[in-house]
Formats: sequence, structure tokens, C-alpha cells
Amino acid sequence: MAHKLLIVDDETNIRMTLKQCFSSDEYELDIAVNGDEALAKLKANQYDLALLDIRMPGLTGMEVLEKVREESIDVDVIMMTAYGSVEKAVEAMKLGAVDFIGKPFTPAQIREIVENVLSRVDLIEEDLDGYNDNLQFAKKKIVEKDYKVGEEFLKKAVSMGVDKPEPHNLLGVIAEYKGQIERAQKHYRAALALDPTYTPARSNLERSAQYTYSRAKIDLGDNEVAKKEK
Amino acid sequence: MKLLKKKNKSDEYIIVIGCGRLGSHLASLLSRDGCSVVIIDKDEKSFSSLEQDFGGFTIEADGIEDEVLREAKIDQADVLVATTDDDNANIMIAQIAKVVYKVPKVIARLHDPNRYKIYQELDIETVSPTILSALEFQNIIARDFEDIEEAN
Repeated sequence: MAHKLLIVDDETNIRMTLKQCFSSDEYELDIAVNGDEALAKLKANQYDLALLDIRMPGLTGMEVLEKVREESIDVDVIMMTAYGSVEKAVEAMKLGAVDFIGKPFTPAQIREIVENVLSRVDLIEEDLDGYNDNLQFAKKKIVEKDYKVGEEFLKKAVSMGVDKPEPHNLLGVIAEYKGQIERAQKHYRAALALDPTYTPARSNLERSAQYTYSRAKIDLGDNEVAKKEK
Repeated sequence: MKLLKKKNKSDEYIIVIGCGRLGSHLASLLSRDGCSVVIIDKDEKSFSSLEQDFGGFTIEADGIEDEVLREAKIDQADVLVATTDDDNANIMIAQIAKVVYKVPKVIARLHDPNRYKIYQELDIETVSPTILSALEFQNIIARDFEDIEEAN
């Protein structure tokens, strides 16, 4: 069965990029050019996933997301953030967005993030197989704010992918959420020791080491997924 | 080059630096071809010269800065083209792309033909509008001469 996607962006060129990225039988696309139209469509139809631009004139992506949650519309939302506005993304995650991606993105990156989120939904605890399943399940749990279970599955992911930096980065993120900065930094350093080029861990480490500590810009590493393909 | 052949056109990720007459035209062509294009220019107004159907990303920033290149996800790029009107900027960006980020294909615009050798030494592919135009002028002139000779 084709997954139903709703693409919401006020910029024509981004809509065209996304249309091109998801023009296959696996997806059924619908488009909205602003927040109001998006909300109307989300109310009227059932979608598996909405790709929502944060910055739009009129009703912003954030406001759409808030309304979606208020009216408990059942849809997963991935936020798209413009160049240089990653802080907003963290706020969006708090409002229940399942993931976010920074613009610009490559077709491989956006496809991977969408595929991961869609498959995350179907993951059941008893049914996890291998490193990626465990990692995705842990992410799902983090988004659901179930950090304890998330942590448990990240540890499993660590043992299954001993050379992978991502679970360590996410363990750091959970530690930060719990207010354990030093432990978080240890995890970020561990991730960097495994892969010095893994930028989410680097930026998390730099950010958490700042004098004026802030959780803004916390990096879950979702933009990194497509790199592995190269 | 191997990477380019393996991928579909729609999966190719191309960064164009400079949205002048050349950059904007090239970006529009590539986008129409189905590539995923990011174009970077300091001047937001310059993006108005992109074609209406341009389906890529625009970033208003200085493409010579490392942070900007990273925001543009240069590490994912299959191709980078430096088309600013400044030879020095082009060569610097091209070198960063090639050496630091190992972009598989890097092309720079070259204004001053006298610098051709430097680029060659740095192993950077160049396109020089000046040289190309000169050659084309020469071709047309030669052709006209032939026509005259034939007529005689």
C-alpha cells in the first residue's frame, strides 16, 4: 500500500524538489502551499506523514503542528528548517514532531529520513532485528519521551554496531535531557572517538561545553543518515 | 566520475557558487535536467535571475566560508561549480571542495586566461568563457574566409 504524504511548503522550488524525490509508486503525494491549506487537508484526509516547513507566511509550520496536536490529528510530522534555524527544530520536537531535517537536503537524505520514520511506526519491541531496527526503535521511544526504554535499546544498538557513532550520540542526548551534562559529554566523545567526522556529536559536544549552556541546537544526527551510502 | 554514473540524475546533488548570469543559467539548466541543485550567493536579489521553474535550494551567504559550505552539505555533493566573478574566490572554493571535502567533480570558472596554468597545476577543471568565446570567434572568422575562397 502506498504511503500518503502531505508536502507543505510555501516555496515552489522546494515543493518541486520534494515532488521529484517521492515520485514513485510507494508514495501518494498531496501538496499544500501554506499552513491554512495544510491544516484543512490534515483535518479532511488521513495521511501517514506530513513534511512541514517551519517558516511560512500566515500560519507557520509550528502553529500547524500545535493545532495538529491540539485536535489530536493522527499523523507523523517531519519539520523542515531553513538554512541557519536549527534551534526551532528542537522546539518542534518538543511539540511532537517525529524528526526534522535542515535545508538544503539531498534526495537521498530526505528519502532515508521519511523511510526511517515510516518504518519506525511499524516497529514492535518483540520484533526488532539488527542494529538499525534497534536504533530506530530507540529514536521512536525518545520522541515519545520514553527515555528509559530508549536508553535500553540504544545500549543494544551499541553492542550490535560497535563501530557506529550514532547510538553514542543519542545516549548523550538522553543524558542531557536528564540534566547529566558530564555523562552526556562522555557519550559525545565516545561517538567522536569512533568517527571523528560525525558532526552531530561534535556540535553537541561543543554546544554542551559552552559557558552559557543551552539545549538549543541539540543534534539527533538525522541529517547524517545518508552519508553512509557514500 | 564513477559516482556520477551510478546515480540517477534526480539523485545528483550539485552545488553552484555564484548566482550571476552564468551561475543562475547553469543552475536553471541543471534543475530542469532533474538534478538536485543548491545555489549560493551573497546577494538575495541575484536569485531573481533564476528561471521560474528552478526546483532547487537557494542560500543567501558567502560561498567562500567553510561554515556556509558545510550548511550546504558539501560533504554530500557530487559536483561543485564555482562561478563567481572573482577568479581567486573560485580557485579557493574549488580547492576546499576538492582537497578538504573530496567532492568527486569540481569545476571552476576562469576569467583570466593567464591563470590557466595555475589551475592546471592544482588539478582543477576549468571553463574559461574568455577562451571559449575567442575560439568561437576564430571559428566563425575561419568559416567566413573559407566561404569567400569557395565563392572565388
